[in-house]
Amino acid sequence: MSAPAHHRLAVDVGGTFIDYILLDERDGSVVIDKQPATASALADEFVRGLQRLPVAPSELSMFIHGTTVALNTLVQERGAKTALLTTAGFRDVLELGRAGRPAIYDLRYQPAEPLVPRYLRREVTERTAPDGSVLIPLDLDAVRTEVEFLAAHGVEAVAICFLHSYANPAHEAAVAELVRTMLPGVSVSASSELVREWREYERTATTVANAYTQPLFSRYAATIDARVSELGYEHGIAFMRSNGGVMTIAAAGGRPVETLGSGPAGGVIGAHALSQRTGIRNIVCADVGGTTYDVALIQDGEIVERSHTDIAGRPVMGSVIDIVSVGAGGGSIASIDPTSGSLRVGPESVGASPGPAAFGLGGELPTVTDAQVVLGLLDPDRFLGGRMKLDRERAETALSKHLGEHRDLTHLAGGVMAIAQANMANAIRIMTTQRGLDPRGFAMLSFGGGGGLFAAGVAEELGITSVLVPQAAAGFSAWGMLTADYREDATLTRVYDVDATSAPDLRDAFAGLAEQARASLVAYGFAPDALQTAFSADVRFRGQDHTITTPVEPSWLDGGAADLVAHLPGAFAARHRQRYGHGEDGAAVQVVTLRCRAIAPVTSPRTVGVFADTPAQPVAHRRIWFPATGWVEQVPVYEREQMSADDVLAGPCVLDEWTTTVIVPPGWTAALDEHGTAVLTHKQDDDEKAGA
Amino acid sequence: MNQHSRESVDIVKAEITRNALQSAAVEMNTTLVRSAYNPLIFDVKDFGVGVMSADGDLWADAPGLPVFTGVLPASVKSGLAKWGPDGIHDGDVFVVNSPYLNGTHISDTAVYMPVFHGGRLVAFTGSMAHWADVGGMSPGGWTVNSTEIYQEGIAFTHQRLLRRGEVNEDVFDLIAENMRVPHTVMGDLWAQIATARTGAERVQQLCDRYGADEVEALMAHVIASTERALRREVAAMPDGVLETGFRFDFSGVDREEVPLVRIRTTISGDRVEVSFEGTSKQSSGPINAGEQAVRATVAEALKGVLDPLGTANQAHLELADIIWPSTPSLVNPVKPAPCDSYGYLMTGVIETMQQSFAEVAPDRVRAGGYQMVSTYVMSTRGDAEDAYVFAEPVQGGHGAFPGHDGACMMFVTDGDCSNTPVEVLELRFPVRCDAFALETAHSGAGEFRGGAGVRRDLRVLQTGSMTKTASESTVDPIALGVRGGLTGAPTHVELVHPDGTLERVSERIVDRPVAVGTVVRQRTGGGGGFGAPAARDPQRVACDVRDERVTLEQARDLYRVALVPGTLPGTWDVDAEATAELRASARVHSASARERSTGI
Repeated sequence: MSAPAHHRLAVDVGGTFIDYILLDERDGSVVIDKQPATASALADEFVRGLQRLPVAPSELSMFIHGTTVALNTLVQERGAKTALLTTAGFRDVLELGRAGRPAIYDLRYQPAEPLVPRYLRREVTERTAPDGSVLIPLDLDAVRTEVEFLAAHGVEAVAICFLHSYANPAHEAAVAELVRTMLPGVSVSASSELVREWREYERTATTVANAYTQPLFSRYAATIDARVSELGYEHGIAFMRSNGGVMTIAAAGGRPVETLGSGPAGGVIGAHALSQRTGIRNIVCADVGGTTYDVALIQDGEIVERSHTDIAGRPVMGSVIDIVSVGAGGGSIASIDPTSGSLRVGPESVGASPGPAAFGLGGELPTVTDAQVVLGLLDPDRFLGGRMKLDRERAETALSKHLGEHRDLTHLAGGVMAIAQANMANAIRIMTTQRGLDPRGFAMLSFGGGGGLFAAGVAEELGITSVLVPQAAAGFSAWGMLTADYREDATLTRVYDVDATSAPDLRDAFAGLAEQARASLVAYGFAPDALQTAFSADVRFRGQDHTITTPVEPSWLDGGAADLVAHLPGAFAARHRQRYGHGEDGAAVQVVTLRCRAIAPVTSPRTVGVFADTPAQPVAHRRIWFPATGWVEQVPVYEREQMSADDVLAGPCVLDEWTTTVIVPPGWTAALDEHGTAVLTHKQDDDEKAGA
Repeated sequence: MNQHSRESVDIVKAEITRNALQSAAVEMNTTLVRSAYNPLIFDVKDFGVGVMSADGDLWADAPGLPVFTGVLPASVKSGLAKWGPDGIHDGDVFVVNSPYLNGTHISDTAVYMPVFHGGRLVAFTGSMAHWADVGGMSPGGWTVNSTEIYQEGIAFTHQRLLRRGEVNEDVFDLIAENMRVPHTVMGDLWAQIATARTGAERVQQLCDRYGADEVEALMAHVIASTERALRREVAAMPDGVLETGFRFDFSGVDREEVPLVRIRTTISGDRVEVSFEGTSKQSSGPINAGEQAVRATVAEALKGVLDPLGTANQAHLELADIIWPSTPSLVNPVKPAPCDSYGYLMTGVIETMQQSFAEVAPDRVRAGGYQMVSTYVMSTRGDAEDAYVFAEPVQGGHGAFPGHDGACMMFVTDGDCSNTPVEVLELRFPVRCDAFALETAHSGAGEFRGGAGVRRDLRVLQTGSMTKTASESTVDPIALGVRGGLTGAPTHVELVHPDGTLERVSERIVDRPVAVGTVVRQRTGGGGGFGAPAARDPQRVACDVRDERVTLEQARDLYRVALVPGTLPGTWDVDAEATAELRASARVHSASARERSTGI
């Protein structure tokens, strides 16, 4: 054994950059670095960045890897030559889909192309009933013939999805085994190994997405693993998952589909860690980038998840952090929409190149960043700690030229900000008010490069009075990855009436799922008594279709079944009332899908605040426009690192950090908590409360 | 519409208001999907929601069925006309499903409520949804052989479900008493009430912020701007007269009655006039469509041509000047004309009308799509072991357009309508699905091929079951090809009886008993092709044959491509020389190719 390792490393591979964040577990200090990424030489660049870090891989205790390799493979449609084996009569399920489409007036609507061409979708004689009984036995000889056909065509991956396999996976398992034997070296994905939920199209699409991305992904993962081992890293790499947990390289190689939604997960699990640390149990998480505004929720101390998502027009089943993304950020373009005669902001963005007009890189279209320059919210001389100079004149020209030269410039710029913030607030409403939650009961955590610029404004729009902006807000997502736990999910679709008769079966089914989820983690080497297990069920009123995921307390499953029958229907009805305003307590309810998650917790890294010993003094003053007051002359600007633990700065003022600017509007105060997180608080006077 | 000048309006508030109302509509949509009891609502999404002004003008919609959104404002306006603004009170909730008021069929029930702010009526919010049953002679509605409205179900004409916030028990009682599946209907009714309330709350919050007067002025500005933008699009098209139409198979009750719909669209400057003059008189069967539904259908077709991606408001609904036949006809029937199968007319109008724009706007439209079709398998008799109604419109093929084969598995022309997954329907109903696949034989051939139809085979598992099918346009298909593309084949149904005999049925089937073991095989229509089949890239044809979308014979005879077996099993290579010969002779053929003619 080598000397005790004290460092954790998270490496986040995105489309254009690889981000590294190295954390010293002893004092919580971090080192951040970046390396350009190109798809052709990803592994080499990965290693090059790694070797630049001040700590050798052999000194790492934990290595977390977030990657969009599978996502990019899917979105850019450059995956493996994939085949699909289906129940006879159903090879077209993948192409037929479900027919829904939000563009209801579009005469030329075209659904996403199936990832498997029709001639590689082969049918197998077999049939299982909804209750799992076998209606038509599996004809393995016929399967052999089909597999030979696929071998002749040189397929690299085979997906298997049979009807009702969630109820009985026996046929899928037998076929998977046969294909693995006959075609060694070909990736095989069986639906029941990925999701045990009903809805054949969604399950088939998920299985195909997995097969399609698997060869490329597992090659990549194996390469990274080998290279990092060569450099002396002694433990397994942990891969980020869509559900906010991590999994071993062995699991990731077989289930790349579970990494598809992992990109924005880091910030949300960081928020979860912050929730545990601060005791704030309800948090709206806002990741503010240049082009998108991503919203997630921590409710009652738990990350809000969903059980399916949509990627480039194709559904993917499986637990994923529920994130609503809108096209709003500094780069969002402002324009006059002739169809509505109103000022629109986004969803189109100028991107990094040419960027906002104020960047002076050739961009001419007015953006939110340009409006912020005009309003004084951004200081042209202090942008990115003075590393980039902004051109105020270009910003002004862009706004008046494209939005109306006869209109008042300040009004236009203020309008662009108001609409951008209204769009952001709407994204938060989708996550809160549309589900019967009052955003005023939440704190807002705002991070990303624009985290501090919009935070208070958006919060005010929603009546949120407490806003947190973490230290190094731009790197918060990467930091969050370091707090991820190992996690395995198990699900099962089977319809049960929640009554005394079926309660024992339900209890046994939950126990089976727990066993399954825990077994995977135990196989990774975690001690069984270190694991935490949580249950939930998708519940509906008898006669309804849509379900609400309702937590199931472990105590309801202990001993007699009466506890489950006594508690679950009421807990569900209460959620239904919260969300939809109606729901009888006594009505018959059914469980449709059972869910279990097992977690092997990882010790959360410490964070330390950096404080000055003396009260902060303004380093500059500038003129800024606020909606409530109009122009305010001489607004003080503070350096965040000069703030002491006792400082309470009254708005209007500005806190500057080199990666982000925090705006503290009139009516707000700013202070630092013990971890160095900036806490903005809105003082609502009685008049405002009455009006809200 | 309004006289607000562009400059007197705050373009920032206009955007925030427009967005807030649209978000309200989306939220209403979500509320309905998530709390309804009827799969036609939560799975198929056979509904629409709307936020309307105090005058009933459409302010905002959300993805659902465009025709429902299009008629909701008219429903509200007829309610206003009936009760007068003084007869409408805070907390009232109204119900209306009469085809002469709503335009759609009697199953489509609108539930709406007024929104008050500061004691003043400022808006309406509501939804229209297909109920699981409305009484009447045919379970689940969509009567295919009714001769008067009274047979089709119980009619509501703006009765109050809630009166000043108090539940009107008598009306609820009456509804429950008249439905075959009261539990489902009452669940849906409450879901619709919750939907209207959700929207009302959002409108009130917006009025709290800006004041009701300003919200009204801002939306009047948005609607006026939309109208200007749409008229600019119209003006950019060449002036012209586009004539189209279609002929029904029959009225549903009288074999001799074969009515037709004539549509003449005149583009002149920035005006669009749509005339239905020459359309057959009001039918004796239920294929009539109420005037408001026809109006909404015209609006939907024009929106698809002019502004396909934006959300709708009143400007879209009022764009066309519509000329109605002077006496009651298929498109403007009067009570007690039967209307329960109105959807054929609606689909026929929108498909043929949008396709007719290929002459003036070839870059905006596509070849025709399939005629709507529904299949029912059900057991509703008193002695049934377990009563059930499985009713679902089945998807089909869309037309092709330059560069693209037509999409398959689409719900008629428009709308966010999903199917019921096989795994869900097998658990919920006593049927088994033997196959769910593309019906490739129904695609209209072309340089770009029409979308395939859909095959779905349902095996009956319960005694005492019966089936009903709703199909139309099987003699004169509406999936018209464009520029030499062929017309898509229409829907038919095959009944495979337990003794193995096969019966092919093109026409509608009325509540016919079927034995256990019978397989009801649906074969829905495909879309029309674009461009001549012999112009299709031969390599694509080789892939089509490999993928079993086109047979080897069709490749040779229709697409004029000669193929030889490829090196890999199941693949084909193009014989370039033989193909060139085939195609040279094809040019002779095409000169005499039969063009579709409706005889109109």
